[in-house]
Amino acid sequence: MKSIEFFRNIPFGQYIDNDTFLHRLSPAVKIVWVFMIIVLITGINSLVILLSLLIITFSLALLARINPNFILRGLLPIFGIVVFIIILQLLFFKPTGADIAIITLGKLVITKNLIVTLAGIILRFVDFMTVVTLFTAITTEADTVQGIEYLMKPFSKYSPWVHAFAMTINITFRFVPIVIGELELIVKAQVSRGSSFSEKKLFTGPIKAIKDYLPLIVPVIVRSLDKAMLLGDAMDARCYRSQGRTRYRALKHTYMENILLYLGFVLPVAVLVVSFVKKIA
Amino acid sequence: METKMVRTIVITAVLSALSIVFAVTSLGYIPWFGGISITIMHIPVIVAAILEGPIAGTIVGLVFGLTSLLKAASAPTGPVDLLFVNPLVSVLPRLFIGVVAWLIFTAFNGKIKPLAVACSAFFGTATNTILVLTMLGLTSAIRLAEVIGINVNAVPKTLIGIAWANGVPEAIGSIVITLAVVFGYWGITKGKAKIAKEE
Repeated sequence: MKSIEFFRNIPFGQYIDNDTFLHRLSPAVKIVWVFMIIVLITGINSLVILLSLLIITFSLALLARINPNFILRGLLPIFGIVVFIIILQLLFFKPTGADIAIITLGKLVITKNLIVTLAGIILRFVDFMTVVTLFTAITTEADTVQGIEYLMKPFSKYSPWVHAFAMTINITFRFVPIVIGELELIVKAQVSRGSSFSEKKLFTGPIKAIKDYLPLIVPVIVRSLDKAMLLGDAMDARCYRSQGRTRYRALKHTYMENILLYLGFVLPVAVLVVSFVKKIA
Repeated sequence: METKMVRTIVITAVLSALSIVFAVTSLGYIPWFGGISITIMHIPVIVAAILEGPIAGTIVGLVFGLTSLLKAASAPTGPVDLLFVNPLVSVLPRLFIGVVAWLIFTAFNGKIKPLAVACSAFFGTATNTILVLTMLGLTSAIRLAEVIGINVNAVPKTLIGIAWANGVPEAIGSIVITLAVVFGYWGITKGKAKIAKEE
């Protein structure tokens, strides 16, 4: 099961322990900013804004004393795909009337629109990866959960589910290694019974792959549910209730962090509105 | 187990963890004819909806959507994956799988439980397939045409083709696996299953 080592090979999702302003910043602020930047990336077509977002994220990474190489390494796996897209675009892009040809190589015509489209696709991709990598590099899992709980605080008056939701996310993170352990166990058990679970799915054919999958997937899910019931019994035995819980270290926002939090809500909306108005005008 | 809420929390959490593991190890995606892999990622969502109701289903669906978004962005397996770097395509449709699966399950839940579970699995899968492809067509028809290399007018036809080629095997797989899992789980809670006495 080589693919289980996936987590260790890519920088994406790794926490880098530096003691900087960005690491100490309230996780709620970071979540809001990441979410809003993703909204901007998907909602905006302007190359200038996409490029400036990239520059901002990289300068933030420098502020957090994260080696830019670390982020660039996460972009390596997508490089092949990018080349593939460029080739496809070159072959199938039809220049329209009001378009300026820049380079002409025999039948290949590289136009301004083509370059703009390509740059948009690639920039959007790189932006997204950079933001997510940066966020996971400066925020621990526990902090993320606390941040989510903080952001949902206004709703907790009405529903006991707010804490329950944060707790669910917390248990999810904790359970990932346990589920991987179960998976390895089942794979070994089925192989010892003569199943030929192979890594080379593409070459064994889809039907074969599905036949190999069934005796693997079902036991893994059932056993994991069984583990869940054990955990539930343990939580009940300790009288877990999701309402009225307190924390040893409560998350408190400074004045500055509150301003940043509200800016994180207001700024992207403003940018979206301005670009929308520009499009209409 | 005494409290309903604790059970809901742990089951939702474990099924979300399963979704993450399936996505990361690419066990959740099986290579299929035509280059677009068929997925079993929606099965934990349907199981959660059947066992614990619509909220649990929606949360696991959210995890499914987010992993699919991150997977498309970090380790794309084809040019179509690029278009999934858009929460409207990858996250939003997945939130409805759980709700639909739960609605169908409660509607059919009578004396014949296997039928209710099977219908729920079928319609949950259909929700995933139809909504994702619809959103793909609505948000990025032009880019889709560019990426696959076809005319924009041929996009709806291609999407329907994908829906048949991938949706049918996904639905069959989902019915088989969901039935096995749900009845396995009901076996655990009644103490009939072998697995409960193992440890």
